[in-house]
Amino acid sequence: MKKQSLFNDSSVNEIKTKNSLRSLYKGVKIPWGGILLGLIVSMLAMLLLATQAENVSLMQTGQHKDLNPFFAYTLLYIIDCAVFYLSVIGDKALVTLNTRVRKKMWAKILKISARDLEKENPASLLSRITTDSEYASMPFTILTTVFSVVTFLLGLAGELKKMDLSAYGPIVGIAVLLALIVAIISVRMVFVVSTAKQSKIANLTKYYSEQLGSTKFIKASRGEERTVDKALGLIEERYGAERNYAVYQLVNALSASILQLALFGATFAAAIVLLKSGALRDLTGTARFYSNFSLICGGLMNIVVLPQVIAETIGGTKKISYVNSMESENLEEGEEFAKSDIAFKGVSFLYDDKRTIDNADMTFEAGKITALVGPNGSGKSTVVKLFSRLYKAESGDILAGDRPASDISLKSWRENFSVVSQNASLFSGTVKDNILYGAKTEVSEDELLQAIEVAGLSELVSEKGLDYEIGVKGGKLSGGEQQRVAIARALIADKDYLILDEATANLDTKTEAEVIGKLLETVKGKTVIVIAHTMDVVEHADNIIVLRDGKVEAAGPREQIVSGNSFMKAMED
Amino acid sequence: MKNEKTKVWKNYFQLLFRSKLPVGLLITGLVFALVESLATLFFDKNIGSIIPEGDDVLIDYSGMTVEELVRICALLLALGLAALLAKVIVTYVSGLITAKVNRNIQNYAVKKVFRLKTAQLEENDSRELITRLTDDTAKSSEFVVELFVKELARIVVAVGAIVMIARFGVPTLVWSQIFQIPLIFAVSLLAGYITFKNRNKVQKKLAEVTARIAEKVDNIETIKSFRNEELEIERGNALLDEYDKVKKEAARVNKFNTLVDQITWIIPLAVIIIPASLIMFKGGITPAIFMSYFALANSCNTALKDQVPVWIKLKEAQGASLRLSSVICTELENEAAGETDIAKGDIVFDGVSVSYGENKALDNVSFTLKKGGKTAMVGLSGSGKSTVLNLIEKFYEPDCGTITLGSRDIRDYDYLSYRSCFSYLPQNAPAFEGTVREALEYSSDAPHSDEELCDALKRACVLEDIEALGGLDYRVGYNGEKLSGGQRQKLGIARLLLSDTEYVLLDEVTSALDAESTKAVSAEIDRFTEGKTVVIVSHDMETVENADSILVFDQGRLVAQGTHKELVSSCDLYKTLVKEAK
Repeated sequence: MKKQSLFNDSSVNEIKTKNSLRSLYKGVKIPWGGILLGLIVSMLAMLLLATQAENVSLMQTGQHKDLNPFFAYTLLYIIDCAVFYLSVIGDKALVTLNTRVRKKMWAKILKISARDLEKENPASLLSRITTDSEYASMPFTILTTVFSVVTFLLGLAGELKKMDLSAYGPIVGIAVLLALIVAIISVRMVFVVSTAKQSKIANLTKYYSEQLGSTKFIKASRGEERTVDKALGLIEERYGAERNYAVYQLVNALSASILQLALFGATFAAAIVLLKSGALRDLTGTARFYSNFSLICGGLMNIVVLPQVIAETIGGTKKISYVNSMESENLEEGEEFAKSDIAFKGVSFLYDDKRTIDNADMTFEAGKITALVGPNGSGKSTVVKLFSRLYKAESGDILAGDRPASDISLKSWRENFSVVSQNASLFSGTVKDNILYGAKTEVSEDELLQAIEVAGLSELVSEKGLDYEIGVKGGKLSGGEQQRVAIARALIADKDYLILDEATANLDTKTEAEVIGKLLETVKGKTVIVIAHTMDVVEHADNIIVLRDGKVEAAGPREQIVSGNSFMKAMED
Repeated sequence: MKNEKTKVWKNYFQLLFRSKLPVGLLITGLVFALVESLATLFFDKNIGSIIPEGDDVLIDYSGMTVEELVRICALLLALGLAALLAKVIVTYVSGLITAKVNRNIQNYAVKKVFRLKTAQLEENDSRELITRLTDDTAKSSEFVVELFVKELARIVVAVGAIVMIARFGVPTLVWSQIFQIPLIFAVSLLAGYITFKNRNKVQKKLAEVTARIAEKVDNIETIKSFRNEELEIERGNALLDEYDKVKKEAARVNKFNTLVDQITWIIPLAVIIIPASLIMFKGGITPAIFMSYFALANSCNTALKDQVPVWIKLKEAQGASLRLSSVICTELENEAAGETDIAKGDIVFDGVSVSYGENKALDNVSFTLKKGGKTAMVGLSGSGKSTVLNLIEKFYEPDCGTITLGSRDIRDYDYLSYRSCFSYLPQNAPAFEGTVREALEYSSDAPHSDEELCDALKRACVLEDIEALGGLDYRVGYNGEKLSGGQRQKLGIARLLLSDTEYVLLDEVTSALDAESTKAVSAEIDRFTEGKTVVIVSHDMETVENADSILVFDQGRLVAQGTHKELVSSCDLYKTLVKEAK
């Protein structure tokens, strides 16, 4: 299913920068002490560096009479490196700031509605927390950079005084201005060309993914040449985007070079003018200025890259603010749930243009086990999502008893429903931790053992023990074992309504039969919906609903449906 | 070991040359890179001239007139500007070269990949294959600029600097600069090693904590459904505290690495300054020469320093090209010439066995599919029916036994000509991004009129749906996702109805359709396949019963064949299958 990200740039960009920064830091304690200390240390390091300018230019122009300048330079340089290392205090304070912003975002994410979260894919949510949060500290980094550069230039003031700045000054000023302008242009460009480049690569990847998924079909239809032709076209588009990117690289290199270009001009062109006017007779000063000029360039470059950094920071902080501004779920609003039949009346659901459920009428009787069957893509998973109120029906009603499901509070609904799906969705921790994950009251030893037995976990538990660490997402367990833990977890949570959505897909057919058999026996009396692919599972059901192509083909008690329906006939054993 | 190394290099160059390098652009880039190098060298050589030769600035002006000084300034200005502008141009040209080489390599790779044999294509995980086609091509091409443009420029700077230093006539200076070569490599590698180890440790820890954060994010639905939000906020905070610790360690490591980098560079600096200074104090060289020497030595060192990361890039590029070559430098389907005149006749399987890995998909099966006849294949899933179709389509070759068409081994036939005799409709008939019209015409040699297309859609019971969605120009989306499973299957059937081949292969073509549609569509298919040679896999008993011949498969073996009447009385497995379906 296609997921369209909620964080499309237009809505994010609507947030005003001022507001985004304010909301970013709201409720977050800023570690001023560490930040200021780091700032002071950085400025000190820069000052020390600047005081070396004299020794450097002396040596570079061969004006030193002994090696003392070199030793002085080396010593102070090493001290300066050590001081610079100490500025890590500031870095650590900024890490603290980012962590506080992350915690605020995490708490928020857990409150956003499941529906909005579904629209956003997990990978990009993760990057909000991990990488985008890094931008929270950027404004302070930028300030530190600016202060450091200014300190550096002030430190150079002594050296600079020796030169006739009336000649060089204006040129340097114009140079910095020009470089900044080009840098800003390049920042405008980079967004456009990078996005274009990424999207062309994405098109190509998507096309390959589609074609490589059906190579037999392509070969049988003699479509190889058509595929290659289309691919060549997409490659050409990517090439076009990469050529444009090269233009951006040109502009970017230009902005870096303008500074140096202009300073060359300042040094030598100004020297020519001054020589001709007779104001200058000796170029030693010029030589010294030239040797300082790489230091100055280095310093000023930090300013020139600022537009890029600022643009990225604004983008990043807006993304964070967007998450923080999203609507929280209202868990409490609504009535209490009461045990009742769940009925779908004329329910339709559209995903993009596709009608996954088409005018479906079905009833899930309270206290009974209903098997939901049908071929792939027939709409079964949509039914499950409508049940857990993750989706809203496009048309028609979903009723719990005689009330619309939407009248009931989410809190109450979730208290009564649990879903076990193919993706076991376990947590790192022990087997026991995971099984007890949903328990809201004390669970006796007996209850725990019963759940383990019914879920078919006895072997695993006797081999590895209840305290076995199952790893991230339960990775240390096999797919089948993970599902069994999920089943045990659902049993312990003991809710009145249980949905088994391909809950045994990773088990081999024999084990599946065993586990389903025991499970459905144990939960007799609860309202169970089980998505079934085999007759073994269907055997245990009270009612059956057959879905085909989004429509309800048949629904009713098991005996009635099994004998009369063609799909049922086709089900393998 | 040496053999491997040469193989990797050979491999890399073969790939580049087969993809046609943009010679014009490369030469342009090289020229400007050399301009940059030479301008830099001459700038360095002449910079010393602006300071006076002697001690006393006011008196000993080395006899240079204002005109001479102006000339030198103009020269330096010109050289400096030339170097910078050349650098900017090289950046642009490099970008163009990389883009073009990338395009050429991709073109070369794509043409090969889609003609690979099916078995080869399936050996590679498709996600990896996509990475090969999009990423590895880019990596292979990025290095071209380094190698063909920048490398020579760097060598020119390093060697040129030493040559110019030699011109000063002071052997010590030359030797100390030559000594810089191994020194800088050693210093670079040492600094690189320390920083790499540190960074590696931190990155591992970071990845571990990130994985646990990712776990929570992936499981949010579960957290909500068990109403554990408060608990997970607490746990998440503890996790973020761990992340905080690792990030702080990373910050410390970064600063430390910078420190290592900065301090190690004092050593080469000392080698430049100390010997030359001592000579200058004794009067062996003038300050002017010292200044030029300093500039030249710096340029040389920079070039040497830039060399080290290039080796890392080289390894990456070679790795990428090796991965790419391993995929595309294998036998293609139409490499060997094949017979294009296809003799129509019976299809005969004789003692055919084929295995997928350890699994024996077909075990010594023999049967005849008579021309013009209708054969049904039945059996449990995984019993070998689809494998038979795959073999008929020449997607795979049997391990032993022969398959003949019209008494000729199908191995002799040219793939394209052979497949044009078959219409194959698989179970999950895909539809590719494009219009309904394009999907219908996908297997056609000649275009059809709109009326013909709509007629086919009508017979496949999907015309109304398509018209409701937007008609023949409706775009069906990536993998046909804008159509339901049933609609996609009917579209495939409509496409089948437009074809006109002697042989028709059908694999569960009504599985996703409701009962009503199945009946109507099956009737259409029967009418369509009248007189053709049909092989059909189906669970629908009505279809199976009417076949001229039925093949019963069980775990890769052909256990029975005959008509429905014959099998019902003689074959137990068939009886069971029929009973299940009823």
